[in-house]
Amino acid sequence: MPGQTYKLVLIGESGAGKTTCIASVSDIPPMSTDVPHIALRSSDKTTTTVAFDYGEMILDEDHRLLLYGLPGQSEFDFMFSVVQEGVLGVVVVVDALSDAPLRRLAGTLRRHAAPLQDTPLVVVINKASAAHSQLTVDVIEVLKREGLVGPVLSADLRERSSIAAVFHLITIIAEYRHG
Amino acid sequence: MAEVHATPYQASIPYFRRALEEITRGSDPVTFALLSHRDGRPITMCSAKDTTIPPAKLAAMTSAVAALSATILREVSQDQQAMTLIEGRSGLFLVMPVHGQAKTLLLGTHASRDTPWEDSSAALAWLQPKLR
Repeated sequence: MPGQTYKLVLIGESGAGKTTCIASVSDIPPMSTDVPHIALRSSDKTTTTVAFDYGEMILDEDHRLLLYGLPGQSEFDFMFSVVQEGVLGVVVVVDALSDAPLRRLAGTLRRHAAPLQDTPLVVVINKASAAHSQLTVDVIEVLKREGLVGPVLSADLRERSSIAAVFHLITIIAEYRHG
Repeated sequence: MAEVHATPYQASIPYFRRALEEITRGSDPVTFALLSHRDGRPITMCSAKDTTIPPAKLAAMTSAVAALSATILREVSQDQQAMTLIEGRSGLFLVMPVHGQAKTLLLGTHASRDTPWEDSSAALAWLQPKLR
C-alpha cells in the first residue's frame, strides 16, 4: 500500500473515548477487541478493550494515520510495549465527564512514564463543554507534576478535524525534538 | 493458589478450584491453570509449580490473546474461535473459552512439552473431562 504512514497511540482511562474515536474517524473498518465487561457499578461501561483498537485515517492521497487505541485498564499496560515501535506520538485522552479525570490522568501518565518521556505527546480533553474550562488548567498542572510537557486541548475526538489537529501538533513537536 | 478480584461467579469458585486442581494435580506436565473473565479479570488460579507472574497480569495477557485470535478469525473468514494454542520450544500455552453457552470465561493453561497435546484437538480432549 503506497504512501507515508504515521503511527499514533491513544492512551487514557477506560471510557475516555479511544475506541469511539477510532471507530468514528477510521477510513477502514476498524479492528476492535472490545469484549463484554461485567460492570461492577451501574455507571460502568458494558464493554472494554482488551488488546487494542486499530484504524486508519487518510490525511491525503500520500499520507495516512495508523491509529492504535490501548485498553484503559492498568492490567493491560504491557500492550504499550507491543505497539510502541515506530510510534510518532501519543495522544493522552482525558474524559471530561469522568468522576476523577485528574487522578486518572495522573495514573495513566505514571504507568507509561518511561516511554512518554521520549515520545511527543498531546493531551486531549474529550467530551468537554464550556463548563470544563478550569480542567485545561488543571491538566497542565498534572503534566508539570509528572515532569511532562505537551499541548493540551479540548476536542471532540469523534471528529476527523480533531485528529488532524492532534497529528499536526505532534509533527511540530517531533520536528522540534529532532532539531 | 491465587484468588483475586470480586466476581459474579463468587459462589462457583469452589467448583472452579476443584476443576483447576484436577488439571494441575499429580505428575501431569501442566504447570498452571488460570480461570479469568474475558475482560481480563482473574477469578482463580492453580499452580503445580511456583510461578511469579501476577494472576492479574496473566489474565490480562490471556484475554488479549483470546480477543486478537477471535478478531483475526472473524475478519479473515467469519469463523468463530474455539481456542488458541501458543507453542514454544519448551512448553505450550492454551487459551480456551469456557463456561456455558455464552463462553464468558477463559481457561489459560500452561504445560511443558511432555504433555500429550500434539495439537489443539488433543489438548481439548485431554482437558474437557477435567472440567466436568
